[in-house]
Amino acid sequence: MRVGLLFPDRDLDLAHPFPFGWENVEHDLGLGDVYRAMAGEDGYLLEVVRKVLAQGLTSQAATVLHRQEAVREALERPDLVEALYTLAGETLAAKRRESYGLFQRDRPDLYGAIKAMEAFLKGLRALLTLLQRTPLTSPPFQALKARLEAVLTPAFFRQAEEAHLEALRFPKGVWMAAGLSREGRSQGYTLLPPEERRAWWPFGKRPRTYVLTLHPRDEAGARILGEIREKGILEAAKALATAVEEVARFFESLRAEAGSLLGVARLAGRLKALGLPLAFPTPAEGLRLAFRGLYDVGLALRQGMAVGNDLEAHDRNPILITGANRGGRPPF
Amino acid sequence: MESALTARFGLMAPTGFPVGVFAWEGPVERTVERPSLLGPEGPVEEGERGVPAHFQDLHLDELEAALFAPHGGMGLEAIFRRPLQDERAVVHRQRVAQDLEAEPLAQAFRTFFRGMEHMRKGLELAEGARHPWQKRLYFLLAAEAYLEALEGLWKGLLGHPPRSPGLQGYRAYLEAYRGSPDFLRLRADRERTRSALDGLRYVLHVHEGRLALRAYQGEPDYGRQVAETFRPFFGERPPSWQGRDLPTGPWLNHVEAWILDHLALLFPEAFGRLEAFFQDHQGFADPALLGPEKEARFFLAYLDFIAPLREAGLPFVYPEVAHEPPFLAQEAFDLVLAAKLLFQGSLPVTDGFLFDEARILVVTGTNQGGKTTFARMVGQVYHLFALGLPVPGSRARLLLPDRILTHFEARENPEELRSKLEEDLRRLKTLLDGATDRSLLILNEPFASAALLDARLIGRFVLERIRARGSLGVVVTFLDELARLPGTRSLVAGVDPEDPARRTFRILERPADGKAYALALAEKYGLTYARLKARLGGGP
Repeated sequence: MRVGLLFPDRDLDLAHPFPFGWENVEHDLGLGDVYRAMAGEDGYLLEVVRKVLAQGLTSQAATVLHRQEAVREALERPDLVEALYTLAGETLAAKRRESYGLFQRDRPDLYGAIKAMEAFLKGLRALLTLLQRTPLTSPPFQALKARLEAVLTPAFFRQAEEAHLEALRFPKGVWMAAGLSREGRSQGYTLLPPEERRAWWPFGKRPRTYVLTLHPRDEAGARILGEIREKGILEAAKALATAVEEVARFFESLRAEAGSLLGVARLAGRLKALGLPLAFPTPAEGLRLAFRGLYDVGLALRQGMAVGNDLEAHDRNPILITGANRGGRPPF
Repeated sequence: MESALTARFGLMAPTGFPVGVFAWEGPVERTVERPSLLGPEGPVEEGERGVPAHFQDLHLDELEAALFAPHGGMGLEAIFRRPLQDERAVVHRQRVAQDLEAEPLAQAFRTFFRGMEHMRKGLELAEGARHPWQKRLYFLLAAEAYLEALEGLWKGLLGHPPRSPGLQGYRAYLEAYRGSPDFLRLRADRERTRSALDGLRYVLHVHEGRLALRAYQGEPDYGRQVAETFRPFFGERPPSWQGRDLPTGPWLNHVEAWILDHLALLFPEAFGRLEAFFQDHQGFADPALLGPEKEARFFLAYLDFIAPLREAGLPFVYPEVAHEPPFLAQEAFDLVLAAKLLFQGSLPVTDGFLFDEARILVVTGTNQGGKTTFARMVGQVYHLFALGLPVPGSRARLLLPDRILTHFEARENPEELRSKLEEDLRRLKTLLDGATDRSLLILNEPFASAALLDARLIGRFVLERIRARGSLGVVVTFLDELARLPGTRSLVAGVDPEDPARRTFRILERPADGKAYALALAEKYGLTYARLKARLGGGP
């Protein structure tokens, strides 16, 4: 599953390292105030917007346009991105309360995975409702909603929540099929669906069944039965744990992407409050540079005002700036 | 077992392989030789007493230990301790060894050895298993290893047809054996039993200290259903987690034993086949095939041992069997010493020897000059030759000795009431009494316990006796005058002509000049009597 709000073809990857010397770029461009305006006191969000701005430098025109669509929606509905950001954060927190790494022990932790998946299913349901309730206008948000709707059908929730997550707790024990290994042990386990408590085989007799009941103090036997059980549920546990990992990744991305859009919305709000104009630049091929009323965002935030400049300099490179001291050359 | 044996003898009837004659009716009268790689007449009967007398002197005991360490418990030492008396057997073995030098064939045999080891391991487990069904399962495993080993060997022999009569005979035997009803039945029964057991599928239900077992009835795979439900999340990427199973011992725990017991009740047909297999095929391994396994191991143990030496550039050769002198070897070396030196990163000095009319080699020269090593080398070359193996050297033409008699210095035994000289003489007498014109006698400093004058006398006498018997002799001594006796050839452990104090370890044919190493050293450092006297005498 993809979030796809910032990129048309992938999700934001927070593990991506900063470009070389990014700290210097941040300092030279005076981005500190911009970050603060976007993230507020949220340390996580600060990290996210830094990453997004850093990765933005390598974006392609299509990505820029895609992201502009998402930003328009975010500016229109800052409460939506805030709700998404909060929902993702809360869901991840709920999952973390239930289980940490599911693959860290020598076998996947089925019980932990069930609890984690329960938290995720709740989050996914809320997410779907939120997106469906809101009249979405931009393609990125609409596509996200469509992707979720394709997977999170009512049938899926019924199967996952009501059937599997209940059944995988195995209230009546584990049924599994196995074959005989060359040394006389069991091998090739497959998990079977839990049996209903119903009359066996309406036609014909109940199949021949042998039962071993362990002595209550047979601890070795209990341990061996536990191992057999673990082997039986292994495939299901692996599948569920893998799904949990993937959904966790989805929510991490959603949190980061919604968070960065939230930052943009906040920044835009601050600038609008200052009465400054906002525009979406049009990406162009080749050496094209033209703007009107362009101002230094950091300066504007610091001073509460900024003077816009106009320029039309197609096919000119580099551009030299001269003039009086304290005349506004560095901000330009 | 009985039937297997008669079938085997029937097999070896020289008139083709009359399948109809696989008489279960009764034992076939004539004993036919079994295929053997060791000799044209079949394997030499064993029963070799302890280590032969000359082993320790020639360091053959060390060689034996090094050769057969990887093949422990196979009793290969008995073959190694038994030099051949029959020239035809020597040639027979040489040809087998030449066949086995081809890597593909050697590889086929190594795989065969491994398969047979698996079989033995399986039989051992079957022997040791207390659970009757597990015993039968291990027995089946052993039979499978056996069939697989034979199949692999057969393919190897087909792919690389051997040229030696020994291996050809073995292949013919194997071919006939593979067509024998016993073998076919074993193979078919194994097939049926294994497929029946592999087809078993059953259901286990674990719940709160209770285990239920019943036959599988086509229930769906629930694990896959779960995976399908959540697949949209992880797509086609399969769950990547790989479990590692804890290693288990060979024996079942009580729950596993219970399951196996009740599986037998649940699936009486499959387990009935297993039981029948176990009852019908006791002793399935044909003893006539086990012999050649051991024999091939003997050859490969030696070939594997000399392989690194060959790689280092040392020559090995199959000696020519000769009856008349000259008997000779060129570029030979002490195999045990060579292996040790190679381990340390160097190579031994190679020497040659030649017996012609002079049948006694008298080796004199400097101390620590390689005389004893030379004597050992001659003995080893003859022993290895008499085993039918390639020997160290680039060319060799040898008389097959009827015995190798050695006399190396022995420590005095205080419990004996005889003096050392008396003991030495008694040993010499035993040797000389046993020597014939086909014997090889190796005497290393035999008269060291006698006074010089006595030693000369005894030495002269002993050499006379050796000459009278016509034996081949190698005598290492410090009495250089023995080298001037008729019928002897004088060899001298050389020193560097540039620097007489440096030993070359080369044994060269040269008249014994009587210059012992000590004198050479004394000269080098100006400590001879004359020089000393000149210096102490207060100048010229």
